[in-house]
Amino acid sequence: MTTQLSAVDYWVLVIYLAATVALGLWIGSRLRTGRDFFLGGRALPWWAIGMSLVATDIGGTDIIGVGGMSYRYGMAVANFEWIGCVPAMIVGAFVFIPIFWRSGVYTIPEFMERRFNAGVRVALASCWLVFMACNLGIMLLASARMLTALFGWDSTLCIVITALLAGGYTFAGGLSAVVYTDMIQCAVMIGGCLLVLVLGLVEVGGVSQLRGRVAQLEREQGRVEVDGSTDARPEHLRLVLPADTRSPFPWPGILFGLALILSPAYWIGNQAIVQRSLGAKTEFQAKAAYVWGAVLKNLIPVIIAVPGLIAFALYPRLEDPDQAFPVLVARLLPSGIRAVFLAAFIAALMSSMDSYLNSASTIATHDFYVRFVAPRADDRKLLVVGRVITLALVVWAIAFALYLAGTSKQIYTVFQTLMAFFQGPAFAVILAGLLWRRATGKGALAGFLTGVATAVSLYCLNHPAISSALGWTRLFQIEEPFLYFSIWAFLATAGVLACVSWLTTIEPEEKLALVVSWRGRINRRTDSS
Amino acid sequence: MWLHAIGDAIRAWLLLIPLPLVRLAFALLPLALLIWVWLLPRDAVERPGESETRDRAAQQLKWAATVALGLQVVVYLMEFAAG
Repeated sequence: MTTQLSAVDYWVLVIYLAATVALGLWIGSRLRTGRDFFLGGRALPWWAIGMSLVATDIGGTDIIGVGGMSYRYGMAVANFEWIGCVPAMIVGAFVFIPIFWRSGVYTIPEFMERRFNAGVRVALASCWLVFMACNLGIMLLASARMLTALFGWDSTLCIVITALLAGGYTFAGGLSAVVYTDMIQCAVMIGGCLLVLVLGLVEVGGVSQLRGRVAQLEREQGRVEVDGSTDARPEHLRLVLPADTRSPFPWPGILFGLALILSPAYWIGNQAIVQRSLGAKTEFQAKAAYVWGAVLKNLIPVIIAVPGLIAFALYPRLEDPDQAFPVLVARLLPSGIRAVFLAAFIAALMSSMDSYLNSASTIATHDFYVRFVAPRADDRKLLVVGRVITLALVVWAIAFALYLAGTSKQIYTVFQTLMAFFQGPAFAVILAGLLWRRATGKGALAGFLTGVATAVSLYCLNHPAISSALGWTRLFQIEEPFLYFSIWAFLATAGVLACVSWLTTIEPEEKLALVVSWRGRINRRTDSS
Repeated sequence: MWLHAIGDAIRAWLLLIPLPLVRLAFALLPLALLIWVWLLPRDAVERPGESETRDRAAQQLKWAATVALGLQVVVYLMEFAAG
């Protein structure tokens, strides 16, 4: 099922893309140093950073993936944007972001070296670099699937063009271009998705009709009340699902795995997220950006998860849940308007891709090139190195996306599973480093490696091929238990980190100056600004 | 197989917790953070020497955080009330 774009659609799309790329290139023409490229010259305003945070977080993977998950499992997926974002952003704003900003670092692994040692820095930087590089390919694939489903465009061409567009202005303009284009993309994305939501609700007959239709469909499909409770609401309309649900969102996973581990790990430890706040004009603006982002985050599930539910009500027999959003767009949006959503989708993709490109380039440049190859490289040379690495990442992303195109796994699940392998351990290390004076570098490294090994082992032992070869039933009863991987990996990291730290010598006082309190009080000696 | 035994024990324990209580916990988490935000000391919200961080701006930051967390409390209280 494909649809044709009108001449107006094409013009809207071309104008939007041209304006975005032109803005990025114009910003790029004003760059002079590596500091401008990687941190936007530390002159970025809170309102732009806040919108950039949201735009970066909501990529093509989310619009397609969350819509697909909502279609398949219901509104429980909204937890990823609500309890899985807002609390962590607020805690990050008042406790963690200020100390990162004051330290004047370029990357989180760099900060971890100041608190622990080079081994921790390399381990964290390596994981983030691999993750971000892989994620670039996943994002490109998400866009290609969407565009192919909607318009029958060649997926290879879609991958190459979107990579070149986002890569082009990121190459030229660095973090400033990323943040200011993200800001526009955020507005376009919210507008486009709102349009789909409103037209979808009109088509289905309103909210009460949607609820009734979903309940009726669940009865027809023979879904049972999995918790055996008196909850008569359809599972699709529940936010909190029982511990024994077959969906990937049982409440223990959401509360312990997502809200308390993966979400803080993402908002406090993810380089692509934190980097833009490091580029804020002032510490206050860095905090304000996170709080503004948290306010906006409340809106996101309404505009990307509810349309998945609408698609379930209107078109309940889709073979691939990831087609939920594309089908809505194709069938509900009139010609001429379709380009608005298409622009929104491309905006979501490009805003995430540009951020990951810039952050991966920052990690590769500062945590590897500057740290191990050219410690005395001047700022102008770093600008060149950053751009060359950005270019290399674009080429890699295209190649990886083309490879992934041969797989059929749900995009969002691939992304989350990959994150669960090391985000839990990374968060445990950051948390201990910032809040526990007794944590040592050896403890942090041992804990991190143990945590990653735990997550990968659980993934392997839970894999159908391996568990059947061992004659086991699968370890986890739910589908795609990435939230549980993160819990166990976090606990393994914390346990080993604590034991080894107690057995090793406490870090010197200058490293302990980076420890912060939950009351938000920060040791003034960390202030480098 | 001991891994299965651990998992079964934890799952059985978690299933004993009533779902309404869990839904309430989802609402209490942002509520607790909201209270924490208002109890934050002045130096955690503002920074001496920055022009934005006068009392009024600091209060605005707390109010913005209240909007973000307050909406979360409302959403999860609705989930709790829906049973």
